[in-house]
Amino acid sequence: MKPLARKKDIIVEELPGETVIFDKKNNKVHCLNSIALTVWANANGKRSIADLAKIVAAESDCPCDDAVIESAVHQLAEAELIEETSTEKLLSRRDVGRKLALAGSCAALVATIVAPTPAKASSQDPTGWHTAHRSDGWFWPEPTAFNGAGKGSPKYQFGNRRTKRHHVPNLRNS
Amino acid sequence: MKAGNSSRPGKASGILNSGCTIPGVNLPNGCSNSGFALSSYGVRIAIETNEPGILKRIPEDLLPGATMAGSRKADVRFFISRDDEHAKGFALYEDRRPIAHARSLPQLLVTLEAAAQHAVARLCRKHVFIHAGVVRWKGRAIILPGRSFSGKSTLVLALVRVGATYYSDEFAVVDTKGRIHPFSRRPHVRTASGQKLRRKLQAASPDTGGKLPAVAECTVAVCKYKPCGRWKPRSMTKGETLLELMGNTVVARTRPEDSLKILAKLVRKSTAFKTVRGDVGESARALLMHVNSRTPGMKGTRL
Repeated sequence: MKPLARKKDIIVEELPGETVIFDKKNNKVHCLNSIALTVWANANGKRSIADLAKIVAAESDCPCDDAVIESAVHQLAEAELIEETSTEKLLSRRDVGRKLALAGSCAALVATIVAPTPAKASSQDPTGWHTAHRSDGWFWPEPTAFNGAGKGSPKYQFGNRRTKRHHVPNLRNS
Repeated sequence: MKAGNSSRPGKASGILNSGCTIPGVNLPNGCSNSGFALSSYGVRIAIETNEPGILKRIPEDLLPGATMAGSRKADVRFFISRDDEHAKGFALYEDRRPIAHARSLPQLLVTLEAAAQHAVARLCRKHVFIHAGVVRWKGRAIILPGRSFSGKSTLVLALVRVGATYYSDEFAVVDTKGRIHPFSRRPHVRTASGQKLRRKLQAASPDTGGKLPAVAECTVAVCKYKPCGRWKPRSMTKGETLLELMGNTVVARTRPEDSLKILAKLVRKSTAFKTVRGDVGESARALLMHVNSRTPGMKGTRL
C-alpha cells in the first residue's frame, strides 16, 4: 500500500504540535497530531508504510512502529484526506486496533468535526417558544406561538405547521 | 439610542423612505414605508415598517453597540408589517422573504432581535462571531462555547454574580488580531416557565452601559452540564481548542480561511480546558478559581 494524500480543496493552519485542516469538499475540520501530519505531508503515492515509518522516526527522533503508521493512514483515509484508490489494501479498523494494542501505542491521531451552518451556530429561540428549523436555516414559530393554540386544543387539530405557513403571502412567486 | 423616538439622533439622516415595498402587503392610505438603519460591526441593517407606530416599540438595545447609519445602502432589510388579511398579527420579512409571524408585536420583536443579531454575525467581514458566552475576569476573557440549551447564559450570569464583567451570552466577537470584543445584549435564558425567569433576569441584568474594552488574552472553558456533575477540568491542546471554536463559529462554512486564521491567532495565546459541571453557582466559583490558578500573576488571588 502506497498512500497518496489529497491536498485539493483544503485549508491548512499550523499550531504548535498540531495542524488543523479544513476540507472544503465536505465542510469537515480535522486536527492532525505531529505523526498524522508527517504521514499526510509525505504520502505521495510512492512511499510505502515502511518508508513513512522511517520518515516519522527521523522527525520525532524515536522509533515508530508500522502499526502506528497504518493507524494514521487508516484514520486519514476515514477523514478523506488520503485518496481512496491508494488505500485499496487498507486494513480493517479491528486489525489496526489489534496491531496498535500489540505495539502499545495510542490510537487518536486525527480528530474530526463538521463545521456548523450559520444557523446552527446561534441560539434559535431566545424566548422559549417552540420553533422549528427550516430547510433554509432560519426558523418559524410553531402553532403554539403562531395562532395562540397549544397542542391538544381544537384549533391545533385543524392546522399543522405547513398549512399555517401558507397564510403568509408567498413573495417568491409574486 | 432609542428606536422610533422623535429625538433619535440619526432621524434626519438615518430615516429610510426607500420604498422597500413588499408585494401583497397593503400600505395604509397616504402612508409610505418608514424606518431607520443601524450599523453594528460594519454591518448595516435597515428596519422598515408600513406602520410608523411600530418603530416606537422597537427596543433600544436591538443590536448591542450599534450606531445609526446614514446610508440607504443596507446589507439586510427587515420589514415588519401588520397582517390583517391573512393570519391577523404581525409578519417579519428579511430581504422580502417572510421569516416569522406572530400574533403580538412583542413576540415578533424578539424574533427581530435574534434575526438582526444573527445577520450581523453572518455578514460581518472584519470579525468572526463564535457562538459562546463571554465574561471578563481580571483583564482576561473567559469564553464559554456551546450549542443552544447548553447552559451558556446561565453560567455567564452566575459568573457575573460572582464578580466577572458581562461581555455576551450569545457571541464572542473576535477581531483580526485575535482580540475579544463585547456583544452585550440582554441575557436570554430559556426554561419552561421562561417569562417569569426573564423578568427576574431583566431586573438583575448586568451593567452594559459603558464601552467595554477588547481583551487580548483569554481562557476557553468547555463546560458540559450534567445533573450532579463533578468539576474535573482537563487541559485541552491548541488543536482541540481550535476544533471546539470552529464547531461554534457562525461563518465556519462560508468563510473558512478567515475563521481558521483568526481563531488560530486567538488559540495561540489562550489556555483551554474542558469539564463536566453540575450546579451553576459552584461551577462559576470553581471556574474562576481555575482561571486564577492557571494564569501567571493571578495565583492565590481570592474571588
